[in-house]
Amino acid sequence: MATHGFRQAFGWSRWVIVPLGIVLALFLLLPIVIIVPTSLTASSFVEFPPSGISGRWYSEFFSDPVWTDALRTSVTIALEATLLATLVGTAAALGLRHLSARPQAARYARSLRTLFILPAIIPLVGYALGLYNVFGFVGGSTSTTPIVVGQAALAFPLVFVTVAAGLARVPPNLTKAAFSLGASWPKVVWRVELPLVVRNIVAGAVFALALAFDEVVIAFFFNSPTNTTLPVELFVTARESVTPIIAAAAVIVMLVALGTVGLAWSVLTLKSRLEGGYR
Amino acid sequence: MPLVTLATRAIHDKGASGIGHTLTDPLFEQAVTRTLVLALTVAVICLLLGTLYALALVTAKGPVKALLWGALLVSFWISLLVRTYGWVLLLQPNGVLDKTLRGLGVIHDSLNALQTTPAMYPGMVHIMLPYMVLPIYTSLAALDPSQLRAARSMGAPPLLTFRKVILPQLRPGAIAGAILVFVLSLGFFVTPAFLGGPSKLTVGTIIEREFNSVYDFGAASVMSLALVFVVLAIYLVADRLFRVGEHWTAG
Repeated sequence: MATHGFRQAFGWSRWVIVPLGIVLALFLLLPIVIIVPTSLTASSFVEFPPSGISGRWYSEFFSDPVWTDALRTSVTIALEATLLATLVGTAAALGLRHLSARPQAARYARSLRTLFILPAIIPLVGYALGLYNVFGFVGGSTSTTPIVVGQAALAFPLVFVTVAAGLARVPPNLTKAAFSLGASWPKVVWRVELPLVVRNIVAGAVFALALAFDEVVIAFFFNSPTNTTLPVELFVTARESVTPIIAAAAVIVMLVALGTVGLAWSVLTLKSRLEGGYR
Repeated sequence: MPLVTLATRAIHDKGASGIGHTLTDPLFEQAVTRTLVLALTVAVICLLLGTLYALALVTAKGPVKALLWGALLVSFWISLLVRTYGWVLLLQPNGVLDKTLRGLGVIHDSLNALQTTPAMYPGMVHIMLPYMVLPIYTSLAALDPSQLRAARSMGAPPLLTFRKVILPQLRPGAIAGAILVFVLSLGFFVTPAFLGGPSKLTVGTIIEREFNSVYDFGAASVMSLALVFVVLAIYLVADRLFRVGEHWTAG
């Protein structure tokens, strides 16, 4: 890293830059610093600083079927959406690599790439509304299917980008060699390319899971009593009332996201240590 | 496909004159103005703060560096809903901000900061800042350290080094980040809904209102279509000019 070079280049001015950076870091952490104590309050009101510490709002969260159902729905939907996004995203990245290898198709490959990234920037409200129209025609807009499909579409670019980045490091000659030895494309994918990008697929899936678990806009547009996700319940309740249970729910959402990422990170580091450091 | 039905819905329900009516509705025009000002301001603030943060990231070392990275990644991974809710707790009547300011004797009554237009700004900047920092950091990390040494050995003061060596290096990342933040801010829903509330509508929240409270699906479709169209146009032009897509995916 160029840290040393930068330190010298900035001279005295780094005594301004770094403290300001710390202030910004604290600004980034501010909401968390407020939510966690609020959720631990012993009183019935939202208070900061909390009066007394207790796990009361957490036990209330876990004894209220409204919240536990929402949590269960969320986990199910997020897992399904992740599975879908991971399959399609990986397939898209592999397909695009195959396509880019041919000179006459490379032009389309670039357009496709742009197209594949689009779901990440399309305004969610617009996308959710359009999806609502689609399922309005085919029916089933109160089931969990549209939420799964919508969130999978949203998470798709994350998987695609992560896997494509991994594939870019797989030398094209490896693929060419396999082809020249007479392997078919599916075989090349299965035996050569996929094993080399497992890490990226796992990382992409984790991104997708974290995204799907706390996605609120699509889930909110399709909200019905049978498919309310945890973030939607949080959103709706927080719009109408002020109670510490919302803070407790927020902490749970936060812990799930951080837990997923942390778990995946430790699994991946452990794996690479066992493999004796590929990369 | 959802976009196609959006278009057919818009045309079918409204017709050409209806579309014109919807788009010139004063409420919608207000929302558009508010959203544009919001998105532009947030992008500029994030550009300045994000550059600063990225510079701090490459300069700091030891525990400070760990803190900077930790804060960035944690806030990147924590649900934006949760982070926005943190701002609600901070800004609400009798919330943290009220109490602090009252404790300092700055104010006596509640500030009533929640559900105002200014309330949206800190929340939006907070949500968007990581999107700005990462591309800038990627650009900076690619800088060849020997260029910095060269500048130093020729006696360039820090400011000159910054202008001539560092700024050109971080420019592509900064442009990509600023466009990303601007585009994302245009269609943002959760944060404006929480912090701006039902009276300070943005494009995102007005669409939801047409859909969920007014039940005018046609109007909602027309507005969404306009929003999607603008966002796509900006993205495609920016991708052509600056290849922004590559900076976003590099991070």
